[in-house]
Amino acid sequence: MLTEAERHEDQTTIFGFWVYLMTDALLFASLFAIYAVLHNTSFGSPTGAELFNAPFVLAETIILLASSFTCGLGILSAYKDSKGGVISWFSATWLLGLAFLVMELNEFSSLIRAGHSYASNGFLSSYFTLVGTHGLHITIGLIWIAIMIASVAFRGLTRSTKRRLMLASLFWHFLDIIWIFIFTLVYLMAFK
Amino acid sequence: MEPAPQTENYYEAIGVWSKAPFGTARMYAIGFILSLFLTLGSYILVIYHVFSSPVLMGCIIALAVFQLIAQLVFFLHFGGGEKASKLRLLILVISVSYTLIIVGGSMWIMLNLNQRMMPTTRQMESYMRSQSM
Repeated sequence: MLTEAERHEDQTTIFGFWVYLMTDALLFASLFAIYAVLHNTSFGSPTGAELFNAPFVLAETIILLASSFTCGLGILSAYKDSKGGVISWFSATWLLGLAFLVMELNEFSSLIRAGHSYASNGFLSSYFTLVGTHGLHITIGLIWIAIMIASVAFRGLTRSTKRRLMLASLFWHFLDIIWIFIFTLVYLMAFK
Repeated sequence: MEPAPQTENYYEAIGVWSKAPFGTARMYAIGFILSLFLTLGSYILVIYHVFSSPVLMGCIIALAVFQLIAQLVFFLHFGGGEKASKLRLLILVISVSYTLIIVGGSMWIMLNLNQRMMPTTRQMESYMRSQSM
Protein backbone atom coordinates (compact mmCIF):
# COMPACT_ATOMS: atom_id res chain seq x y z
CA MET A 1 0.00 0.00 0.00
CA LEU A 2 2.67 2.48 1.02
CA THR A 3 6.05 2.48 -0.65
CA GLU A 4 9.10 2.33 1.57
CA ALA A 5 9.90 5.96 0.73
CA GLU A 6 6.36 7.10 1.62
CA ARG A 7 6.44 5.18 4.86
CA HIS A 8 9.76 6.70 5.84
CA GLU A 9 8.62 10.19 4.85
CA ASP A 10 5.44 10.09 6.94
CA GLN A 11 7.22 8.52 9.89
CA THR A 12 9.81 11.30 9.75
CA THR A 13 7.13 14.00 9.47
CA ILE A 14 5.36 12.77 12.57
CA PHE A 15 8.62 12.46 14.50
CA GLY A 16 9.59 15.97 13.37
CA PHE A 17 6.28 17.30 14.65
CA TRP A 18 6.98 15.66 17.99
CA VAL A 19 10.32 17.50 18.14
CA TYR A 20 8.47 20.74 17.37
CA LEU A 21 6.07 20.01 20.27
CA MET A 22 9.05 19.60 22.58
CA THR A 23 10.37 23.03 21.55
CA ASP A 24 6.90 24.43 22.19
CA ALA A 25 7.14 22.85 25.63
CA LEU A 26 10.35 24.81 26.17
CA LEU A 27 8.48 28.00 25.27
CA PHE A 28 5.93 27.18 27.95
CA ALA A 29 8.77 26.30 30.33
CA SER A 30 10.10 29.85 30.03
CA LEU A 31 6.65 31.28 30.67
CA PHE A 32 6.27 29.01 33.69
CA ALA A 33 9.67 30.19 34.95
CA ILE A 34 8.56 33.82 34.63
CA TYR A 35 5.31 33.07 36.46
CA ALA A 36 7.24 31.25 39.20
CA VAL A 37 9.37 34.33 39.75
CA LEU A 38 6.57 36.89 39.55
CA HIS A 39 3.56 35.07 40.99
CA ASN A 40 3.68 36.80 44.35
CA THR A 41 4.29 40.32 43.08
CA SER A 42 0.78 41.64 43.40
CA PHE A 43 2.01 44.26 45.91
CA GLY A 44 -1.15 44.49 47.95
CA SER A 45 -3.55 44.02 45.04
CA PRO A 46 -5.66 40.86 45.05
CA THR A 47 -3.65 37.65 44.69
CA GLY A 48 -4.53 34.52 42.75
CA ALA A 49 -6.36 33.04 45.72
CA GLU A 50 -8.70 36.01 45.69
CA LEU A 51 -9.14 36.31 41.93
CA PHE A 52 -9.36 32.73 40.68
CA ASN A 53 -12.63 30.81 40.71
CA ALA A 54 -11.85 27.21 41.67
CA PRO A 55 -14.99 25.37 40.50
CA PHE A 56 -14.93 27.28 37.22
CA VAL A 57 -11.34 26.26 36.55
CA LEU A 58 -12.13 22.65 37.47
CA ALA A 59 -14.95 22.67 34.93
CA GLU A 60 -12.59 24.10 32.27
CA THR A 61 -10.06 21.37 33.06
CA ILE A 62 -12.58 18.56 32.79
CA ILE A 63 -13.93 19.94 29.52
CA LEU A 64 -10.46 20.09 27.98
CA LEU A 65 -9.68 16.59 29.25
CA ALA A 66 -12.91 15.33 27.66
CA SER A 67 -11.92 16.98 24.38
CA SER A 68 -8.58 15.15 24.48
CA PHE A 69 -10.48 11.91 25.01
CA THR A 70 -12.85 12.51 22.08
CA CYS A 71 -9.82 13.42 19.96
CA GLY A 72 -8.33 10.02 20.80
CA LEU A 73 -11.57 8.34 19.76
CA GLY A 74 -11.43 10.34 16.54
CA ILE A 75 -7.98 8.95 15.74
CA LEU A 76 -9.27 5.48 16.60
CA SER A 77 -11.99 6.02 13.98
CA ALA A 78 -9.32 7.02 11.48
CA TYR A 79 -7.44 3.82 12.31
CA LYS A 80 -10.60 1.87 11.57
CA ASP A 81 -11.16 3.84 8.33
CA SER A 82 -14.49 5.14 9.60
CA LYS A 83 -14.99 8.53 7.96
CA GLY A 84 -18.24 9.18 9.86
CA GLY A 85 -16.56 8.35 13.14
CA VAL A 86 -13.72 10.75 12.44
CA ILE A 87 -16.05 13.63 11.63
CA SER A 88 -18.28 12.95 14.66
CA TRP A 89 -15.52 12.60 17.22
CA PHE A 90 -13.46 15.50 15.93
CA SER A 91 -16.57 17.68 15.88
CA ALA A 92 -17.15 16.74 19.53
CA THR A 93 -13.52 17.63 20.24
CA TRP A 94 -14.00 20.95 18.50
CA LEU A 95 -17.15 21.82 20.47
CA LEU A 96 -15.55 20.94 23.80
CA GLY A 97 -12.45 22.93 22.86
CA LEU A 98 -14.61 25.91 21.93
CA ALA A 99 -16.41 25.66 25.28
CA PHE A 100 -13.04 25.75 27.04
CA LEU A 101 -11.92 28.78 25.03
CA VAL A 102 -15.17 30.65 25.68
CA MET A 103 -14.86 29.97 29.42
CA GLU A 104 -11.26 31.17 29.42
CA LEU A 105 -12.07 34.36 27.49
CA ASN A 106 -14.91 34.95 29.93
CA GLU A 107 -12.47 34.57 32.83
CA PHE A 108 -10.01 37.01 31.24
CA SER A 109 -12.60 39.63 30.37
CA SER A 110 -14.18 39.64 33.82
CA LEU A 111 -10.74 40.06 35.39
CA ILE A 112 -9.92 42.98 33.11
CA ARG A 113 -13.31 44.60 33.58
CA ALA A 114 -12.83 44.41 37.34
CA GLY A 115 -9.61 46.33 36.93
CA HIS A 116 -7.16 43.42 37.18
CA SER A 117 -5.53 43.62 33.78
CA TYR A 118 -2.23 42.27 32.47
CA ALA A 119 -0.77 45.75 32.98
CA SER A 120 -1.72 45.98 36.65
CA ASN A 121 1.20 44.17 38.25
CA GLY A 122 3.86 41.50 37.71
CA PHE A 123 1.70 38.66 38.90
CA LEU A 124 -1.12 39.49 36.48
CA SER A 125 1.29 40.17 33.59
CA SER A 126 2.88 36.77 33.95
CA TYR A 127 -0.49 35.08 34.51
CA PHE A 128 -2.09 36.55 31.40
CA THR A 129 0.98 35.81 29.27
CA LEU A 130 1.23 32.17 30.36
CA VAL A 131 -2.45 31.31 30.25
CA GLY A 132 -3.04 33.55 27.25
CA THR A 133 -0.33 31.80 25.23
CA HIS A 134 -2.00 28.49 26.00
CA GLY A 135 -5.32 29.97 24.91
CA LEU A 136 -3.74 31.15 21.66
CA HIS A 137 -2.49 27.61 21.02
CA ILE A 138 -6.01 26.31 21.71
CA THR A 139 -7.41 28.79 19.18
CA ILE A 140 -4.95 27.65 16.52
CA GLY A 141 -5.78 24.03 17.39
CA LEU A 142 -9.48 24.73 16.89
CA ILE A 143 -8.83 26.29 13.48
CA TRP A 144 -6.70 23.29 12.53
CA ILE A 145 -9.31 20.76 13.69
CA ALA A 146 -12.05 22.60 11.78
CA ILE A 147 -9.91 22.46 8.64
CA MET A 148 -9.28 18.75 9.21
CA ILE A 149 -12.99 18.01 9.60
CA ALA A 150 -13.67 19.79 6.31
CA SER A 151 -10.70 18.02 4.71
CA VAL A 152 -11.94 14.58 5.70
CA ALA A 153 -15.52 15.43 4.74
CA PHE A 154 -14.52 16.46 1.21
CA ARG A 155 -11.52 14.22 0.48
CA GLY A 156 -12.12 11.23 2.73
CA LEU A 157 -9.48 9.32 4.67
CA THR A 158 -6.46 9.39 2.39
CA ARG A 159 -2.81 8.99 3.33
CA SER A 160 -2.51 12.79 3.62
CA THR A 161 -5.60 13.38 5.74
CA LYS A 162 -4.70 10.50 8.04
CA ARG A 163 -1.22 11.86 8.57
CA ARG A 164 -2.57 15.35 9.24
CA LEU A 165 -5.22 14.04 11.63
CA MET A 166 -2.43 12.35 13.59
CA LEU A 167 -0.45 15.59 13.72
CA ALA A 168 -3.51 17.62 14.79
CA SER A 169 -4.32 15.11 17.52
CA LEU A 170 -0.71 15.17 18.77
CA PHE A 171 -1.03 18.96 19.03
CA TRP A 172 -4.32 18.74 20.87
CA HIS A 173 -3.12 16.11 23.38
CA PHE A 174 -0.01 18.22 23.97
CA LEU A 175 -2.19 21.23 24.85
CA ASP A 176 -4.10 19.21 27.41
CA ILE A 177 -0.80 18.12 28.97
CA ILE A 178 0.35 21.73 29.23
CA TRP A 179 -3.00 22.62 30.80
CA ILE A 180 -2.47 19.96 33.51
CA PHE A 181 0.55 21.97 34.60
CA ILE A 182 -1.19 25.33 34.33
CA PHE A 183 -4.07 23.98 36.41
CA THR A 184 -1.66 22.60 39.03
CA LEU A 185 1.05 25.25 39.18
CA VAL A 186 -1.04 28.39 38.60
CA TYR A 187 -4.51 27.75 39.96
CA LEU A 188 -4.06 25.04 42.61
CA MET A 189 -0.84 26.62 43.88
CA ALA A 190 -2.71 29.89 44.43
CA PHE A 191 -5.25 28.15 46.62
CA LYS A 192 -2.89 26.06 48.75
CA MET B 1 -2.56 -19.23 -6.59
CA GLU B 2 -1.46 -15.75 -5.71
CA PRO B 3 -1.24 -14.90 -2.03
CA ALA B 4 -3.80 -12.32 -0.87
CA PRO B 5 -2.48 -8.75 -1.17
CA GLN B 6 -1.18 -7.41 2.08
CA THR B 7 -3.45 -4.61 3.24
CA GLU B 8 -1.48 -2.74 5.84
CA ASN B 9 -3.12 -0.34 8.16
CA TYR B 10 -1.71 3.15 7.50
CA TYR B 11 -0.95 4.01 11.13
CA GLU B 12 0.66 0.65 11.79
CA ALA B 13 2.66 0.98 8.59
CA ILE B 14 4.24 4.23 9.71
CA GLY B 15 4.91 2.87 13.17
CA VAL B 16 2.81 5.21 15.32
CA TRP B 17 0.26 2.61 16.37
CA SER B 18 1.31 0.27 19.15
CA LYS B 19 -0.14 -3.21 19.04
CA ALA B 20 -3.20 -4.02 21.11
CA PRO B 21 -4.13 -3.51 23.85
CA PHE B 22 -2.74 -0.03 23.23
CA GLY B 23 -4.69 1.07 20.22
CA THR B 24 -8.21 0.43 21.44
CA ALA B 25 -11.08 2.48 22.79
CA ARG B 26 -10.50 0.88 26.18
CA MET B 27 -7.04 2.41 26.48
CA TYR B 28 -8.40 5.88 25.75
CA ALA B 29 -11.20 5.34 28.28
CA ILE B 30 -8.75 4.18 30.96
CA GLY B 31 -6.58 7.21 30.27
CA PHE B 32 -9.56 9.53 30.52
CA ILE B 33 -10.90 8.06 33.79
CA LEU B 34 -7.42 7.98 35.32
CA SER B 35 -6.73 11.61 34.38
CA LEU B 36 -10.14 12.59 35.71
CA PHE B 37 -9.44 10.99 39.09
CA LEU B 38 -5.99 12.56 39.29
CA THR B 39 -7.45 15.99 38.49
CA LEU B 40 -10.29 15.65 41.00
CA GLY B 41 -7.83 14.25 43.55
CA SER B 42 -5.58 17.30 43.28
CA TYR B 43 -8.55 19.61 43.41
CA ILE B 44 -10.04 18.02 46.53
CA LEU B 45 -6.66 17.93 48.29
CA VAL B 46 -6.25 21.67 47.79
CA ILE B 47 -9.81 22.89 48.35
CA TYR B 48 -10.24 20.91 51.55
CA HIS B 49 -6.65 21.71 52.56
CA VAL B 50 -6.01 18.11 53.50
CA PHE B 51 -2.29 18.51 54.17
CA SER B 52 0.00 21.34 55.24
CA SER B 53 1.21 23.68 52.50
CA PRO B 54 4.62 22.19 51.62
CA VAL B 55 3.26 18.61 51.67
CA LEU B 56 0.29 19.73 49.62
CA MET B 57 2.58 21.34 47.05
CA GLY B 58 4.54 18.10 46.71
CA CYS B 59 1.34 16.06 46.39
CA ILE B 60 -0.24 18.10 43.62
CA ILE B 61 3.02 18.20 41.67
CA ALA B 62 3.32 14.41 42.00
CA LEU B 63 -0.28 13.99 40.86
CA ALA B 64 0.39 16.26 37.88
CA VAL B 65 3.43 14.19 36.90
CA PHE B 66 1.37 10.99 37.18
CA GLN B 67 -1.28 12.50 34.97
CA LEU B 68 1.41 13.51 32.45
CA ILE B 69 2.64 9.92 32.32
CA ALA B 70 -0.93 8.57 32.09
CA GLN B 71 -1.72 10.85 29.17
CA LEU B 72 1.56 10.04 27.42
CA VAL B 73 0.89 6.32 27.69
CA PHE B 74 -2.85 6.14 27.06
CA PHE B 75 -3.43 9.09 24.71
CA LEU B 76 -0.10 9.44 22.97
CA HIS B 77 0.72 5.72 22.67
CA PHE B 78 4.02 5.93 24.50
CA GLY B 79 5.88 2.80 25.44
CA GLY B 80 4.68 0.60 22.60
CA GLY B 81 8.17 -0.70 22.03
CA GLU B 82 8.77 0.30 18.43
CA LYS B 83 12.05 1.87 17.42
CA ALA B 84 10.37 5.22 16.74
CA SER B 85 9.01 5.42 20.25
CA LYS B 86 12.48 5.07 21.81
CA LEU B 87 13.61 8.18 19.95
CA ARG B 88 10.46 10.04 21.01
CA LEU B 89 11.18 9.08 24.61
CA LEU B 90 14.74 10.37 24.33
CA ILE B 91 13.59 13.72 22.96
CA LEU B 92 10.95 13.93 25.70
CA VAL B 93 13.51 13.24 28.44
CA ILE B 94 15.86 15.87 27.00
CA SER B 95 13.07 18.44 26.88
CA VAL B 96 11.95 17.69 30.43
CA SER B 97 15.55 18.12 31.59
CA TYR B 98 15.80 21.49 29.84
CA THR B 99 12.47 22.51 31.40
CA LEU B 100 13.66 21.64 34.90
CA ILE B 101 16.88 23.55 34.34
CA ILE B 102 15.10 26.64 32.98
CA VAL B 103 12.37 26.75 35.61
CA GLY B 104 14.43 25.55 38.55
CA GLY B 105 17.41 27.68 37.64
CA SER B 106 15.32 30.83 37.20
CA MET B 107 13.61 30.30 40.52
CA TRP B 108 16.91 29.67 42.28
CA ILE B 109 18.54 32.78 40.85
CA MET B 110 15.59 35.11 41.40
CA LEU B 111 14.85 33.93 44.93
CA ASN B 112 18.51 34.36 45.78
CA LEU B 113 18.51 37.89 44.33
CA ASN B 114 15.34 38.73 46.23
CA GLN B 115 16.98 37.74 49.49
CA ARG B 116 19.96 39.94 48.79
CA MET B 117 17.92 42.98 47.81
CA MET B 118 17.31 45.91 50.14
CA PRO B 119 13.73 46.09 51.33
CA THR B 120 11.45 48.54 49.53
CA THR B 121 9.98 51.44 51.46
CA ARG B 122 6.69 49.60 51.86
CA GLN B 123 8.38 46.44 53.10
CA MET B 124 10.51 48.49 55.50
CA GLU B 125 7.45 50.33 56.84
CA SER B 126 5.51 47.14 57.44
CA TYR B 127 8.55 45.58 59.09
CA MET B 128 9.00 48.57 61.39
CA ARG B 129 5.31 48.54 62.22
CA SER B 130 5.50 44.86 63.12
CA GLN B 131 8.38 45.65 65.44
CA SER B 132 6.28 48.39 67.03
CA MET B 133 8.69 51.20 66.32
